[in-house]
Amino acid sequence: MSQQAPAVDRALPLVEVQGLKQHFPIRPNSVERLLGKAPRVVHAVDGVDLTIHRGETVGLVGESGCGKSTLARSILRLHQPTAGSVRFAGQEITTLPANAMRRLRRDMQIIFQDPFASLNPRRTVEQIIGLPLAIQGVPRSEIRERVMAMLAKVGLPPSALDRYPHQFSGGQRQRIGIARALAVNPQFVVADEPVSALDVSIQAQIINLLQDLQAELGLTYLFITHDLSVVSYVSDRIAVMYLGRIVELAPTEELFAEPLHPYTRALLSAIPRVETRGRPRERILLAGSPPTPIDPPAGCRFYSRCYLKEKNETCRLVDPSLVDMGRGHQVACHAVAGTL
Amino acid sequence: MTEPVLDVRNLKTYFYTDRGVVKAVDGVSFAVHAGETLGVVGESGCGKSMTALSIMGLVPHPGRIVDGEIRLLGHDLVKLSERELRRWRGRRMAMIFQDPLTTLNPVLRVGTQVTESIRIHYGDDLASSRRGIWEWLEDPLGRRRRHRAWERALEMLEKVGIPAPADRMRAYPHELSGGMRQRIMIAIALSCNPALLLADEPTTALDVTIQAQILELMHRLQQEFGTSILLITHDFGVVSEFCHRVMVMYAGKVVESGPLEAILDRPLHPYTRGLLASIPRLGDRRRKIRPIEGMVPELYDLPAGCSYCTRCPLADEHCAAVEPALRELGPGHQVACHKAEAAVEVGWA
Amino acid sequence: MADFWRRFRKNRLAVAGGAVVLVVVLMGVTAPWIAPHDPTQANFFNRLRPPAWMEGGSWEYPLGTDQLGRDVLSRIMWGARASLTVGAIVIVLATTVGIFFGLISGYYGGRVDAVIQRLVDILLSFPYLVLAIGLMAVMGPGFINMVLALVYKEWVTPCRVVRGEVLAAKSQEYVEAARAVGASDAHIMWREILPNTVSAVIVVATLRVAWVILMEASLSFLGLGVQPPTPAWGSMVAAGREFIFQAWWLATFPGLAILVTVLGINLLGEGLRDALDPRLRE
Repeated sequence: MSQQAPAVDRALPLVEVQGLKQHFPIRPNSVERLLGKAPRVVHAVDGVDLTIHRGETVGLVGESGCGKSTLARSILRLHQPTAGSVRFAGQEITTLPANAMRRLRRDMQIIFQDPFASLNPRRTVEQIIGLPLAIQGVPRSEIRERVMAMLAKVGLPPSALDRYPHQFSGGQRQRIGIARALAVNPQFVVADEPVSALDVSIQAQIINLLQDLQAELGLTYLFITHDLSVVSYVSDRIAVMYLGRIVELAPTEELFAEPLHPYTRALLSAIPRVETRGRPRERILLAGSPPTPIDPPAGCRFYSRCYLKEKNETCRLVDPSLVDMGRGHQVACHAVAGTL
Repeated sequence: MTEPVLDVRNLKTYFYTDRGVVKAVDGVSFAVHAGETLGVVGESGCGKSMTALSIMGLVPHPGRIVDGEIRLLGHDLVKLSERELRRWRGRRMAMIFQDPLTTLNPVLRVGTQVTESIRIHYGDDLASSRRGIWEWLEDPLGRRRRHRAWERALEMLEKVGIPAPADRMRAYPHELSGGMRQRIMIAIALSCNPALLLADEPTTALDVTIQAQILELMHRLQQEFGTSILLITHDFGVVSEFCHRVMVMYAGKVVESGPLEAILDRPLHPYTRGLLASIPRLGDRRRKIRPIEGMVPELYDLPAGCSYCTRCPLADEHCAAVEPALRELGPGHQVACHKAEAAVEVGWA
Repeated sequence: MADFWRRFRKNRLAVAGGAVVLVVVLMGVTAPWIAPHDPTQANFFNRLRPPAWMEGGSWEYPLGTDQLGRDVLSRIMWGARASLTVGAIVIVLATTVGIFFGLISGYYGGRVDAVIQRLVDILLSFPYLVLAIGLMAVMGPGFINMVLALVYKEWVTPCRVVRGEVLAAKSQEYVEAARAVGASDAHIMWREILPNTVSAVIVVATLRVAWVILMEASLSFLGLGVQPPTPAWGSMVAAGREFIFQAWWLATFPGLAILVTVLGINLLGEGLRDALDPRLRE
């Protein structure tokens, strides 16, 4: 999708994430506090390395609770990361003072999943899309015009300006959310499940809109979704997350041609496909569901559900790190990387 | 052909609101045969869920069934009283929903909820055949009956692949994962061995690996019990993996129905074609997706002719004026479109 | 705004409630001109006259007279002033204070929340009337002291309501969205969250106006509120209590005035809520 993008140096990293951890303490209830129990910690994101280059779309997939949305919010510093570093255009942002961070928000934006919850029902479309502009110091007299321009860009009529979110359909609301995110001309946009709440035919409209806007504005996307068909369509590279970690990262074609991590293979085989020929195909059915991120296992996080014959004590005890397998294909698995 | 398990004819479920009559289901006819899975596909508001609720006799206020027949095993459910209907629900037909957390009662143990359904229906059956005066003397408090229901529930949990079922019977719904909860719902639904299972987006709230487990489970149980399934979904992937026949709905009407292969490989209605063209295929970036323009029309004011004519690239004045009837254009393949033949020629699926 | 009126007018009960409130307000405001008699003028020749439609009644005193021969209708008209003024002043003050603390408490959470909410808990653990009586015993009876005594506890209700609404709104994605574009805490609190609490605050405020009117009546009934000879519904009921068997109208008509006013305010409040909530607009 980024082939048509304006001249951007794709080799330049825009976002560099290193060793990022996002832990959330669970407040003990009063009984637990009386018993002197240590507060438990959710390891939502637990050591993620990820580099996103200018102009590309990186897809982030994984099942619910794997930490993909948290990772995105930590990168945008909507949460203060527990540990690790996030560099945006070469600048470390995890330690940036609030004022500088506010200025930087012009360059990094987010599109939310729920087109109903993410728009304030009490504010007009003009106020919603105009907010980021006002914060970035655009004079009041210009805001209305710029909002109108944004509306046109996302395919909404100018009459939308003074209306409230509830007067629009799901797809239109998502367009409003996109307009808000793009109003300040960001370089980097996180799209957090932007089409999951939409009907199939509307999904396609929004995907195409996001792609057109990327081509027009030279945007860099981190595209989060649980829908592998969608992510395979929009992404240049795909990162697969499991229990707070990236377990595999590869260019899209590469990942689908040759998935390496046992989890990725199970995930791909589990997706129901729209086809009548070539059935039945082999399906890897995973047993059970992912362990909780409160007490992640010491070794490989996928150990409890792994179906490989080769799995052994090393997997259970030693945490595999991402290993480059060539052609930009990285995987965190002892069996695949030959580190058993 | 033997008589279908479910035969719906000209079903109309209307909602009488302040703003006018909403024809949520408007003259829908279809049949589900023994051991068959019929997929109902469509976007939100197309009437697919309301069709299922109509069959269950659970149409919410201010809606009601205004016309049509719903024949389950030869009996017209529309004519049954609420009391009779209640005996049919659960025993002859059961429904599972998208969100198992909201359909399970959070303050009751799983075991209680599974046995409840068995005791209400299946248990009654046992009772009516056997529970004479001697039976009563033997078991005045119904302890044995309760025990039998518990055993049956345990057996069902095992059947739906719940590990350590005896422990799970004592758990509360929130202590189980989404996939486990949906398994419980399926256990409840199938515990009385219904002839028809209505599944309304049963895997939409679940992760793909869990969805695969659940679909596999439903498939296995269908083979074991011979249950007929009406599967409501928006996901063509699920349909193509699981259904024998497909029915596509739009704005309260059936626009196309037929065998799975026919619908996927030779879709005739522009809407079906539009839907298929708008979904990205896994790992295929070269095949560009093509959205359907516009939005689903408001059900208050549908066009006089074909409901899809406002979004259809082939529509003309005739489409806007005259409503197309379902016609058979292939073996078991019906479509409601004036331009079906033209669509085939354009060939843009 | 036009939208708001159109929706409000559709709700007949709310319009009726609004009409009642309007009548009561007009009655209070114009009492000096429209009341047939001086409400404090005793007339011993006309003591305990029954209402006009009963035997012995006359249209000169449509609702009869009290034990001092004062016109009950005139006293009810004048009494509206006391009730409505107290109700309005107390609620405006209490709501302002309550919104402020509720917003801070809900938005910042943690220790701030703990301190404010414990204070609220303490105030809530006192019976309302007992607290008000106690305070007035210290401060002495009178109009201003009554207002202060009522505000002292009344702010707790809007505070709790606002806090709850803030907690609900805070977890909404639109708040995160505002943060993502760099909005300040102040903006998020006052512009994003507060408008979403308005409907709840309005409903609660109107319901509480009714409550405060009842409290005022109670305090006046006990002789702590509005002082005689200034007429107030509560003290009228109190005085009429002694004559309930000989002259039922003395306690009944001011009691009805309280009932109708409270009911009218409640209907109005719910109508306002429905009309103000844009989510309910079509």
